[in-house]
Amino acid sequence: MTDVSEPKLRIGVLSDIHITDDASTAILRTAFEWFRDRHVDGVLIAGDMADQGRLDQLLRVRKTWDAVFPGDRLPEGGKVEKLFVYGNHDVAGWEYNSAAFRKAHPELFAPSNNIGADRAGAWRKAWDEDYAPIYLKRVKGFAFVGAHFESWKVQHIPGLDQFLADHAGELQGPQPFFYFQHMHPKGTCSAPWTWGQDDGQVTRALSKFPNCVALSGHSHTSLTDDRTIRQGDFGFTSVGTASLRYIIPFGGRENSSAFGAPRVEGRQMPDLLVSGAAWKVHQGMLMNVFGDRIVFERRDFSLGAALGPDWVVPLGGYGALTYETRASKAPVPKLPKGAVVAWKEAPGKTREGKSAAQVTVSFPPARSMDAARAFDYEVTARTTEGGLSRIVCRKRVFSPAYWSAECGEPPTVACVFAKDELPWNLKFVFAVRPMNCFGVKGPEVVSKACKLKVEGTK
Amino acid sequence: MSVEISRRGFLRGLALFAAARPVASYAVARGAGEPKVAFGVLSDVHICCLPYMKRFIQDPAHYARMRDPELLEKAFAYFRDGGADGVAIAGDIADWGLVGQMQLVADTWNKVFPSGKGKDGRSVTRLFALGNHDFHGWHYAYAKEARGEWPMPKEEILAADMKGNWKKIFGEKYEPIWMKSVKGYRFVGAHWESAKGIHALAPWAEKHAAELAGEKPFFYFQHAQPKNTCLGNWIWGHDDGCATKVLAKFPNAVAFSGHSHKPLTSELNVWQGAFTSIGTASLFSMGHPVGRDNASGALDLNPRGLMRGDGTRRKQKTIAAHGQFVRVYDEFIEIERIEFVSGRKLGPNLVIPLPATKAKPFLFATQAEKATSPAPFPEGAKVEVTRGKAPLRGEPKPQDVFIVTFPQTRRVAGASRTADYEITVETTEMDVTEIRLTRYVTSPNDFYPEGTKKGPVKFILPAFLVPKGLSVRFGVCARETFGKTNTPIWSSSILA
Repeated sequence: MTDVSEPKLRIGVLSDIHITDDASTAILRTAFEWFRDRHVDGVLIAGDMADQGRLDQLLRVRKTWDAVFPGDRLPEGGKVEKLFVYGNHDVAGWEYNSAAFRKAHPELFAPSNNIGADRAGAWRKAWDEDYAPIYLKRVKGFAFVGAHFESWKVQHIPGLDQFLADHAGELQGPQPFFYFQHMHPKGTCSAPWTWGQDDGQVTRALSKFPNCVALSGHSHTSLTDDRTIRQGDFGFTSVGTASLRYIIPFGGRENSSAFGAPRVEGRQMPDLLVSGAAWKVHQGMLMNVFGDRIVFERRDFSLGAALGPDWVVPLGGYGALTYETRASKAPVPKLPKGAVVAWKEAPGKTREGKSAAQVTVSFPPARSMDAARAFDYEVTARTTEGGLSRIVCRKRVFSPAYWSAECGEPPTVACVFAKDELPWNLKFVFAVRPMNCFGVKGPEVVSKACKLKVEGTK
Repeated sequence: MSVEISRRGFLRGLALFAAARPVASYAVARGAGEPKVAFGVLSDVHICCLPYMKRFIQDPAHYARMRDPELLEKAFAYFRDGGADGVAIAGDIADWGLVGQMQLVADTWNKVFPSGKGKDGRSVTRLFALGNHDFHGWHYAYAKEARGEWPMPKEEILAADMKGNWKKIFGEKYEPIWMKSVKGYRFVGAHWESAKGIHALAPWAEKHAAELAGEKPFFYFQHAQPKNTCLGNWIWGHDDGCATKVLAKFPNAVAFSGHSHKPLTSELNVWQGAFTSIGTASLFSMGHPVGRDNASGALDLNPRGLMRGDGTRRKQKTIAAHGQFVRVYDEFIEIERIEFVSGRKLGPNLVIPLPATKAKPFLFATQAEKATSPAPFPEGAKVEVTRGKAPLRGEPKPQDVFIVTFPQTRRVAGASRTADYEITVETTEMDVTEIRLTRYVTSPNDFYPEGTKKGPVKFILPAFLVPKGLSVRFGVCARETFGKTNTPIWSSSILA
């Protein structure tokens, strides 16, 4: 029977804040205030609070915290616990700026401002707490284990195995405990594809605790991707925490690229990440812990709306959140009834800025009221020349608002082809299929027959 | 000596045959004896060379190689030696529609069939229907260029006085639609009227309906393929359906038509529906069906997207030429398919049961249902992919390409003929593994008896079609005419 009482625990969850200026500070304040209004018992930040490894940036977070949770308290008096860990930008972000840049801005890069030079000192200054590479706090009886980012050379948490063994009595189930670090434990949420996974030692350590709920950031993977929360053969629940500052879309789409991978050339659309749109998306979650389940409310702080239906982690069992289980149950998106797939020929530019004759295909987005929002879309140009049904060119494309609340969806989604990728003087069609994040395709909607003019003719 | 075959036994045997594939020399196997009538069928001969043409004068060897009457003479001789009672040509006899060219054909005829006599002194009837080249070839661009001077003198043009020229060359009356009787069988030929078709056929057929109707087959020849019959709906050069509409009233009609230059190896070449319609390939040149990347006549005019096509002409020399020898019996028609450059049969003979209303093994739906997957690839076969440069259709300079090679399948018992190969290009980036595009190439043996060309198949894909930096692999499966495939083989993944 579902526990319908109030949650036993409410925790705000953020990650990858990358604070730099007043604008990013304002976004953080919006998130803190939203958590405050929901009477959270704590706020968890899974790393990368400061963008450039500067203490003054960490102190901005502190100042914002103090403004919303003065004395670490809610307005009505309840305590709000700080559940923060360093990420790579906090302890190594200093080095991400060139020596010349640091030299040119001595006011920002005074040695005393370098978090990485004195982690413990910076932590004390920012949070009035002692620094420990791994620590345990209890919030309303629930254990929270936080592990700070160590270094790029050490892509795991030294001493975690021992720490967990030493505290096994407190951590072992059935009550869930929460673990948080910056990088994704390898082979868990958003795996195998996501960048930013550690070396796997944390996964092995946590696999002894099926009641563990691990939260991690670093990859900035959107919370609209349902693979961001996952259970699997690694044995615990792993949740990605996206980013309050900007989202990094998966590659493989005509308007995206694989972060950190060799560049793919020849795409006909700008990269959503590079185009700046990604920097207008600010995501976070509210975690509600009940007796029988944990509910994650996913929040779009830029639009002030839910990102989608809540994620529900049943307690007392394991396996409801494997990819396979969810793929079989996830709703299959559909384009709206009467949707029209249109196309238009016009000159444009490739992603590399080269002029190109292009054809833009546009169609309305799939909506949750029709069946489900789409994660992305498959757009296929195909022809039946000679009686053969031939895929001329197939692409995948994100809606430019795939990472936003549904109210931010534009009226149409576009996918651009180079004219050279398509047949000339031969009839073909564009077929569009919305897809969910598990790769399940919805029904196709087909355009009217197209026929491109031969170059050089009217 | 012929052996009597009981009708029931014959039909039972035919059912077994129809359920499988055509067998060689069905009539001989059945001891059916001499055919009631036999005739050769050619098409799109495109006889050309005339010594006084400017191009020929400039390069006599060039024109001696192409479109010369030697191959025609070889085909006529084959039919003569096989005991033909007639020889049909379904159009495009004279490439430029010139009197001299048609005279060459007549001279060749007279050489092989002196006084119109064939084997054992039997009469051999000319069953010629004219095509667009015969009427209009004289003003096609390459004819103008070859002639050297313009305009073409009227006395050289066939169509300037078709009646007079026909009478002069063949000694017979010219009729736009003619009917001849050969050993009690009716043969009807309709000369080219326009690209739309033979609209005079409808009233003519109405007038002669009583002579044509019945169970006994009659044979009809025109140049353009009747729409929606042999070689499918996509075939280039079909008429507007006027012939199909007329012939549909005669289930005993067996129509032959050319114009499209498609090989006799295709399972679509014999169509059965309301009547029977058969394509006649070409003695001059042939091409692969459209939709395949190696088809010269692709409808897709994007020059950057396709490898260069191939056909049966190499450096102006015909390297494969098709024709048919038709033998008619009381209960079936047997069709032998010949490749005349090598003199080899293209495959087992095709058998059409008579009367056509009783059994239609060549219904496309029936063939599709009975088709089986092509043979598997050889054990351990792989798809190899390399990068290089190659010329593309319409592109003067070699371009960056993927060169994909894979072995052919070898026909095994129970497997259908491989008509073409489907190439799947699969790319991977992060969580997206998808088929980016599919292409087709016709089997290298499309113009030849199966197994003639044994080497690997080569497919070329322009590199720009796969974004640089993506992981890509190529899958190949063999495909029979109606779409059944075998198990694909794959290349390793490479970085595009």
